[in-house]
Amino acid sequence: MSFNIIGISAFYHDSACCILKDGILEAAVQEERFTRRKNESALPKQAFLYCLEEAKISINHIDCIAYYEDPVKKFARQLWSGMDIITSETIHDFNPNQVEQQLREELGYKGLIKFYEHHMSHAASSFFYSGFKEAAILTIDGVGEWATTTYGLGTGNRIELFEEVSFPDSLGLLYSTITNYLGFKVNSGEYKVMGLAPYGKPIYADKVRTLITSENTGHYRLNLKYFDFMQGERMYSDELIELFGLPPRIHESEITQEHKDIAKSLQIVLEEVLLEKAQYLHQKTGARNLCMAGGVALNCVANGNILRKGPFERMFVQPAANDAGCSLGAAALAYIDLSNNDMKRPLTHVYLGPQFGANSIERLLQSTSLKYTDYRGNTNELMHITAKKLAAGKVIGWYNGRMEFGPRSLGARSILADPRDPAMRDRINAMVKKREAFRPFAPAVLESRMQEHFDLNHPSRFMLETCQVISSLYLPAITHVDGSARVQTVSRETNARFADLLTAFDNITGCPILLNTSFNVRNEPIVNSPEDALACFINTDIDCLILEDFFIDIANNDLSMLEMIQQNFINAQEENAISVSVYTFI
Amino acid sequence: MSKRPSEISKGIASDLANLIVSGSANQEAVNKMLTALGYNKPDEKEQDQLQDRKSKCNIGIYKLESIDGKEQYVRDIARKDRWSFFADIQSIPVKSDKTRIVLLGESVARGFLLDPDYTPGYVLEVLLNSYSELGGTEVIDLAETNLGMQELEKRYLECFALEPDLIVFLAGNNWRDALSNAIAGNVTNYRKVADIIASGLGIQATRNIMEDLFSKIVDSFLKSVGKEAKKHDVPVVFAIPEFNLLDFKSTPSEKYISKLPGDGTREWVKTKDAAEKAIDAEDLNEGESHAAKLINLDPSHPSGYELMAICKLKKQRYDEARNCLELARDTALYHRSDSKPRIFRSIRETILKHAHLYNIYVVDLPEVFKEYLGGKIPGRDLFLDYCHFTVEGIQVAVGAIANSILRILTGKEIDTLSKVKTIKPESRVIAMGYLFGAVHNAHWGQSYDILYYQCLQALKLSRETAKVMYFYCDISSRSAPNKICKSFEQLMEARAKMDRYFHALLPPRDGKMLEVDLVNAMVAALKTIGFNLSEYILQLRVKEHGVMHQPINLLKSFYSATSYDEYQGTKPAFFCARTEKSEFFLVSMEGQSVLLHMTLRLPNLGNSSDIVLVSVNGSQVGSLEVGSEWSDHFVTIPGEICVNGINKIIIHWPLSHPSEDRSLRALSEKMAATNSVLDFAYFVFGEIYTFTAESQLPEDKPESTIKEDLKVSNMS
Repeated sequence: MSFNIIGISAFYHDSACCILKDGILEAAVQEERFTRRKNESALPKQAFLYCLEEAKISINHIDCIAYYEDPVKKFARQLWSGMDIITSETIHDFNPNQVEQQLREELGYKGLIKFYEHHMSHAASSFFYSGFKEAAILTIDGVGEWATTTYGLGTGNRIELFEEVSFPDSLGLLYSTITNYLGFKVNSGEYKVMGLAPYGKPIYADKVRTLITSENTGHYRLNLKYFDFMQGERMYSDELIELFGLPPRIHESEITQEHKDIAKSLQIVLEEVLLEKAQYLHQKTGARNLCMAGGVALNCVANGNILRKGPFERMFVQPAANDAGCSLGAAALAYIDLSNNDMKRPLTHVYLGPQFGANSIERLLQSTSLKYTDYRGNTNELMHITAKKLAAGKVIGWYNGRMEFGPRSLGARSILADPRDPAMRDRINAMVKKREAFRPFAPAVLESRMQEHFDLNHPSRFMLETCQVISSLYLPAITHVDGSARVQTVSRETNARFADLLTAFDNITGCPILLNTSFNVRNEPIVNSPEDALACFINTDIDCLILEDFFIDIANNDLSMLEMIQQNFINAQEENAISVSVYTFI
Repeated sequence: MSKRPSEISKGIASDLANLIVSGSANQEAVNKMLTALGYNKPDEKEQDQLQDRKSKCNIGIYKLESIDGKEQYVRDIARKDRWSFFADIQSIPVKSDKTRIVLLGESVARGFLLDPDYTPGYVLEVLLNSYSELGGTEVIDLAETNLGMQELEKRYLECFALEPDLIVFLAGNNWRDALSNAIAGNVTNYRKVADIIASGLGIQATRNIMEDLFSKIVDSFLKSVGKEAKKHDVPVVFAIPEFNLLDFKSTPSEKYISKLPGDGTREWVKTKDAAEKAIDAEDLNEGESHAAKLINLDPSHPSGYELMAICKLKKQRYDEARNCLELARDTALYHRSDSKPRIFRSIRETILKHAHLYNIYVVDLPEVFKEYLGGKIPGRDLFLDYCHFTVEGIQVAVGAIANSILRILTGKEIDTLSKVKTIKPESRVIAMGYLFGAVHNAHWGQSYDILYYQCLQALKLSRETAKVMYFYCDISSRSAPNKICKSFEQLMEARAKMDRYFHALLPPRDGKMLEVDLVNAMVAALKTIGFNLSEYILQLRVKEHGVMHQPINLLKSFYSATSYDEYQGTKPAFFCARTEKSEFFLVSMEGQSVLLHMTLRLPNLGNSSDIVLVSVNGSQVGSLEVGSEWSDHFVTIPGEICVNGINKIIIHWPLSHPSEDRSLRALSEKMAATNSVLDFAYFVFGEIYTFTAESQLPEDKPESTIKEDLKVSNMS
């Protein structure tokens, strides 16, 4: 019988579950993909059931559940911060014991449960999956229990976190606060601020610098008079409004040049602080490698900056660097604790979620009015026809194999298009993704051809760093305003069919690159099942949908009635979204 | 947090967190620490919210706009998602010289299942306009589907902006949530309930607390209504709704079995079995005797009352039967399930007792219906489902309300019944009402009998409904989500006005059922008009759900659910059997052997084990020894007992005596800590983690893991 460890992160945001079978990561998935509530925070029951199914085990075969944070320490921090809803009567409702009780009662589990601290889980999620024998570790997020930033060293199967910055001083909360001020949703809008930054000038950088004071060590302090984390409606105080001399942007209102300038200024200051702290970490550890995790590590622009300008030779950023990825870290810690073995394999891909067989997809399609072509047994032809459609300027919904773990679509649940088309970015933003016009798109490139087109000397399989576009091709749809791109390199080794499609596109166009964005619309989680993909296809301006071996072309279908039916659900789905306007501390 | 809290207080916060975790928290010490951390300050938010609410000038989905220099209320595009919950009225005109009556209420007042063609608001307006005494009347229909008590009160306050001459409430069905909130949201009330359950008396002992609380909530509502009516000098009529006592039966999760003191649960299950057998054998006295014992053992459970009512009805003792059926209905107070809307006796009695104190006029529809039916009990004649009226139900209810309005506004006693009976919709509308009723009843676990009756009625009134039934059967038998099925598109294109109820046609995510009884009822009804769908549905079910094509997870809602209703306590990741038998559907074919894999446990056993029996189509196929820890079991269903299409697998759980090693105090603490009071009130017979079916020959099964030999015998 195998040695089975379940990792869980839950009850905050981005709840997730993974399973390690004899030290090998068999499955990992975020609960939001099943419940269809973005950033789902509830106990990941469906993700848990999926992990058991994928590992072909039942509940009685689990050796340990590893949980990603210490609920008692977290509760102490919450009490210290001041929560409006706590009174002498309600305080018992927040008993941290409920975490263990819920794990036991709702998952039906009586065995061993191990709790690991939040930032230790982040650190482990990066180092133990990096393949490095030794690495410095930097974790940065909004807040875990008390820690918001930690510095550590990983060696073999040990991690030592030797220094930490505590709440309320937090780079994550600084970024979220400005995100909130700029009228975007906290916990999901940070990425938009990063994307907005290149359109601005850093003219507010000095003002942003007054928000944070960096010290010579790993420490820094926020100037709290500008913040109001616990107020409930917003994360900033009136002083911040005075500082910028600009009213906060109203959600969904026009984005002005000032907003772009503030975003740029914030990004610049974040990069400065991170680079400085990375240098400090290198000085303390002497390590050649750097492992990063935590929500701030999803800032691929800052990551690229650290790698280019910093002292480290190699860097590994755990692709689900947000709290979802903590489940991986907690599971790895438990595996090492209990088996005293090293983790068996580095993380080379993120295709760790559900996949659906051809028969079930065919049955699904037969229930619909959709006309489709079945390419089973004729994959080459499917790649060729898809590449031809892409070359003809069509937008493709690409559903292929096991779903990705983490926030990025990497060729399993992707929307693909020709990166050479100047109008493509605006079209996809407006008609497909239904989101802000400024949002950039990322390229996926054949790994063997990456250096011809991007200033990149190593594979970037998780789309977690940016670099300059150096291609002789004109690639307006994936080149950001500052000439950069957030690259995913693709090889047959990790995603054969996606690599084949890139090759087929290259054969037709001479361009081994595709625009690759997540298969979802704004405010919705990335699609999981074929049904989700169909719903997204019906509801957007995607031209063709490839559901594994099945090809559906909008040109052959009238979707008006299906679209009308789908439209009736948009409001309900939005109502169900978990994202909030403040950072959730509970 | 604009100021950095003291570093010293981090220690206090940690100490307090640890104190709470320890479970031995001294409240005085907790309060002291909370004060040191700056808590326990007065909360001014609630008052602010109230002020804020009052300052808004919206009325439901309508907002005030100036059109051609005149101010009127028009639909607010920002609230489009709620439009389908309101009457089809685009705007509310400025007040004229007509008598203006505002109708407030929930889906019953909306005419749910007949709306928009035939609604109480429409019937009331037509009826009142036929009496010249009022000099022209307009009814402003502000009723809203799913409206709760708090929102109803808000709507009432808003509606004075329309300058009504009289306000009618037809409401009270959605008020259980107010009670739930008053318990779950109030530590003192919650603690009272938790302490009673922890004391071992069972949830039935909480009845007085809940009814008293409910009565206070209703009284407070009436007081508030009366105060505002007096302020504006507008008369208010409150029509108390009625429930479909005769034909709407408790749903599956409303019948979850209680944890009873001592050996009570086992005794209860045996007594229920005896009662059912006696009634089947027409031994009504024996049936009554067992039913009385059931009620005595567990007054919180509907089955005792429902079985007693069957006996009373057969003996034509209608008043006694009515009393039993009302008590059965009122067991929804115990929150086993997200019960469908209903009036409770405590609401009705409070209104009858207190409304006059606040100058509110009352129309008691339970009494009106009783009189109309000559003392008999209302059922499918007046109701389409649990509380929504048939055309006849609307006529009788509106007639009574109109009588009251005419009495108040003209001082005359006028009986409007004969006139209101002339206000009828087209047959097509009534037919669709029956069809919607059948769908709605099926979604809430009602029996084949009522579903078949309603399908037949629909077909009798309109042959057009045959097409809708065909599409519906197709949709239900497929595994694809309804909203992307071709037949769903066809249903929409058929212009059968199903779009008004599209939300009722879409199951909850991952909650789609096979709707076996409804589809079978539709197929049988269609057969009566010469349309035979049987073979088509059989083939479709086999194709979509057949075990011969794919391994089947029998815990999926397709195969394990017959109702949308949900248990209100903890919903774990696995299946909890809260009745002594659990039924699953397996789609297979004659001659097809099927291997079942189950991971089971009996959570209430100590270290012992007990026998779980598995039967298929009445034949026992497995006898499994199961303990309190999860264990894997494999059972083969021989091909000879499988039938084409739906096969019924029943798990028979043992009636083991629970081993309870936790002290009551610890139980009480745990309930308080986890808000899981219901989990301690209701019994779990067994639990299933894995339940898969695979088409496989017996010799293919993994022998090393086989725990039980298979015995095929006829259980019946």
